[in-house]
Amino acid sequence: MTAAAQRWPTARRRRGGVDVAAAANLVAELTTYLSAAFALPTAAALWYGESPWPFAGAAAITLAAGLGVGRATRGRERVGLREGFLVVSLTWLVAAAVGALPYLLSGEEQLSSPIDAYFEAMSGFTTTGSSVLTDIPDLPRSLLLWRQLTQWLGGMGIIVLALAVLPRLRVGGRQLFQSEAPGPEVEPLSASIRSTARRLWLLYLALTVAEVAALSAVAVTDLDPEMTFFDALAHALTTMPTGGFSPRGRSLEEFGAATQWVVIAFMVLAGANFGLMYVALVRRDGRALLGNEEVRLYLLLLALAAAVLAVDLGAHGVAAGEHAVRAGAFQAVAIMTTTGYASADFAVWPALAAAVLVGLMFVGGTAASTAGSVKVVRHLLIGRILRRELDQTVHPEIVEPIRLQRMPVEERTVRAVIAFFLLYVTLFAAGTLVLMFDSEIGGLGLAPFEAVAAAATTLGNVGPALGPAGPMGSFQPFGDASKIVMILLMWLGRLEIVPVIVLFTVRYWRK
Amino acid sequence: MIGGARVRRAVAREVAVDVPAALNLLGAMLKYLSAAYLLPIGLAVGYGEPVWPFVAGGAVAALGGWALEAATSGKERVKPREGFLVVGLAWLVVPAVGAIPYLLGDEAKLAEPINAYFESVSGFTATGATILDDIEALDRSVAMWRQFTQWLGGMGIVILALAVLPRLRVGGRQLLQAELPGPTEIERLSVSIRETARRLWVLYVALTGMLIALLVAYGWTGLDERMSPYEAVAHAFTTVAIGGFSTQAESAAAFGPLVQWTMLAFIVVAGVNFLRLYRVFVQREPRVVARDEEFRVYLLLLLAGATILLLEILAAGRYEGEEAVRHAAFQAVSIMTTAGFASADYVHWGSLAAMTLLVLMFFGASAGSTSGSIKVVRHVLIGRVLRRELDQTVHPELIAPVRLNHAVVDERTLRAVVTFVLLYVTLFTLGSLGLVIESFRTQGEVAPFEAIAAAAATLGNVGPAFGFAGPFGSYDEFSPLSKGIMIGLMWLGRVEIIPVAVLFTRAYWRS
Repeated sequence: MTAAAQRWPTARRRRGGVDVAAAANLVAELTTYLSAAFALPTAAALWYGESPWPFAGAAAITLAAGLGVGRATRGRERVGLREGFLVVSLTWLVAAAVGALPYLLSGEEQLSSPIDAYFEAMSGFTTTGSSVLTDIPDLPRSLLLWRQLTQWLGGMGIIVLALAVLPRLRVGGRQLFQSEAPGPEVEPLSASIRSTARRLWLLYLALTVAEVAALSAVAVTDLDPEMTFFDALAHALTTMPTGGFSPRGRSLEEFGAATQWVVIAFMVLAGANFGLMYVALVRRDGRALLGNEEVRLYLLLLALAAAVLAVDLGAHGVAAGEHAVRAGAFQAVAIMTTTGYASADFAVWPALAAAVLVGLMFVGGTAASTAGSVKVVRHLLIGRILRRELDQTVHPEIVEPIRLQRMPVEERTVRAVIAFFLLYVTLFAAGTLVLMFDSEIGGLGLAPFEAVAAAATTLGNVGPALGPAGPMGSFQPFGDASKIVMILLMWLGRLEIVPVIVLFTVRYWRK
Repeated sequence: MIGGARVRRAVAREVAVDVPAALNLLGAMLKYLSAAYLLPIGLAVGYGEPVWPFVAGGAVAALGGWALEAATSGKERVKPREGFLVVGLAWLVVPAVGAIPYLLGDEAKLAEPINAYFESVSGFTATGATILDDIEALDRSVAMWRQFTQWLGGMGIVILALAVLPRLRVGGRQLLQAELPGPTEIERLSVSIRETARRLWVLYVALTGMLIALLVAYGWTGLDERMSPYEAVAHAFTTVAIGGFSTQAESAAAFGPLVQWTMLAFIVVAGVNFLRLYRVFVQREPRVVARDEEFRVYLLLLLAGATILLLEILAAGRYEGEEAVRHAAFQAVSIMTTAGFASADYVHWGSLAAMTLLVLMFFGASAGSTSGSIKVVRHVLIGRVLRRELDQTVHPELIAPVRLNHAVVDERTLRAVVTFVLLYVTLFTLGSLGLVIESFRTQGEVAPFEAIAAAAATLGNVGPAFGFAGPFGSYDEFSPLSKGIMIGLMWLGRVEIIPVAVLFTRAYWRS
């Protein structure tokens, strides 16, 4: 009997399988912490002489709500695995609501509709990067900084989600990484979250600081006259979480080659394995990182995609020489890692580039990163599974385990990986159809391939799509129903679908 | 002599597949094919059109078949292992021989080898994609041969789907094994083929005969003036085979409502599992079909597809009343069952209709029919597998078998189903990408969505796609390499991918 089990009143456990109050208590606690995050935009507002009230107001509301719910559910602090599904699902819904408060309180015309504000905040906390803004630089700097900060905070959440929570919940085969997550199996969820957070947030912070420094260096040495300290901070805040928001109207296009190459490098790092990077840094040994099968395939796919794009751009005369290589590499990395920056308006690129970019939206970075989408390791495993199935079709007597890093992968894990992939494809198809449906009813006139791109980019937490929602465009023209669908897709994609969907099964709520 | 025997034994030990036995069966097929040339020869004589292209085709088939059999005599025993090779080769070689009349005929477009082969593969796989844009200019004997290839292909598909693939355990088809006539396992493949053929071809021929009789009756009674006996036979051939070739450039739109409704009804029936139809019509147990879960979902999906299309058509004000219902129902049925007839040029319908039709291309009809694509039962099983995975995520201790029609489905079968779907999605993606890349290389005008549709339509053996490859258009504008890719997709889709894929694994050829 663990301490957790003893503290639960047995009667309540028998009545219902899920302790909703305990879940609400944890979400309330996280919300309370989130109110502290408003300090940064408040300070920025004071510094730039803008109104600090939207942030102060939002902080007050958040704090009151968090403390209120926390008090109402006091004494229920022990969250079990079962409640984990509910907690993660609620966390991203509530965080987005908190994030939308300053947008609404600021009275900005562009974000005055609650759905728009919620879309922008959900896009922030899920580190997607899709935006409903049509004139980004028009916003006050403090509000822009808050927009960037939502992605950075979302990234912190994702690190914990991907490396501590989802493996425990056995979502989408993430139990694979159970061994990599610190702490023994019996450790309560909250404890393992804490120990993961302590180590990896340090790395996350260090990488962000390094990028601020690198971009500041670009600015100070005058390699890029466009770069300022504000831009350096703003972009560092959205590179590491593979977010993709930019305070600039035309994303990274406005900056020079030096800035773009620095950002490419940090995007590659952001999509790489955080757990292994930590090990590599602590032990000062890069072999663990480069010997990893997933990391290798990740780098290979990036190189391949960059090459295809560069050749396509060169052949069509869109860009030439270093510019073609840079534009190809930047866009391949930005889309595959699900960051979503743009160094050029790829919505007007030729058909092959468009098809490749939409294809990359389904790849993602490594599983232990802040990237969204399917993730490289799942593609790797599915390839091996298919290979084994073909062998077994001919030789039904063959019994061979799927291996990753020479270690056999449990069959249960294999099945979970496949289930995740199928759910992902199903949701993508359903999302595309609904977007198409709404576009037809609302007279948006979306082309089928643009609907495909919009569904893929939001479900994969990438950011920009094609057509009107291209990298230099906006998701503003979409109807409210479409925006709600895309909010749901961002949410589902970020949580890897399963935690949300199980909430809709009868079995989850029963004992 | 002794040395020779030793060498032969050594070779047999190295290569575990009895290639001569596979070639022997292929030879027998070609011999039967030569008999099929009698129909167009008769027509050509009757209409006073060139006879010798068909005589040449028949001669090549007969000689080739005889030569193959003679060279491999004494090797008549084909076991399941050779089944993969036979299946893979059959749908490559038979269309090649079937293309001879096209090559030698008057039609300039078909005289090009790649076009002739494309048309022939599209025929024998019962796809219905065409490179012709002036079908009515064809000699009547050639046009009928084109229709006939689909009908012959359909006979092959009945055997493939109900006797061969279940034995080979391809894509979970072992499900159908329990219902097959005759004992299983040790039995030779050729015996089970003969047994299935005897029973189910009667049904296939009877359905065709009924449709011919009905259509001829419409023509004679003046219900549809354009329906001559020639057209009746031509369209009955491709309806029951769920093929989609038509002798009319306007496909089914060339005929009146009554003909369209009749064809629609027969496509729906042809899309039902033939084993079930056999029990209904021959053994007179209609309740077996009504209780079949695949059948129910099949009807439900057809209804849903037709309803969405109807809403779209009505909202856009394209048609009214009976016409709207007819076009919606006809197109939903024709595309979902992978027939590919058109009662209207759906290319000009809106984006939503395009997206709906594209999604329907991935369903197909029942697994025991002549339809292509994924098939309804696999979708049903995947849905249940996902449902179970979700339940097991929350309750890892749960052991719940997946059931179909109340019977437990073997885990191996489920894995095979999932594998098939994953391979299908992978091939579809690669095919789309291949078409886009090739269009880029040749400066073609293929938009990404059109490439996707063309890949889906050929892999799913549907037929028409969108853009210039729409129902009233043709695939001729694609480059030769694109045509090659799509020939590959039709071939792979028809044999359900795995028999071909295993040929490329080392495990297949070794013992």
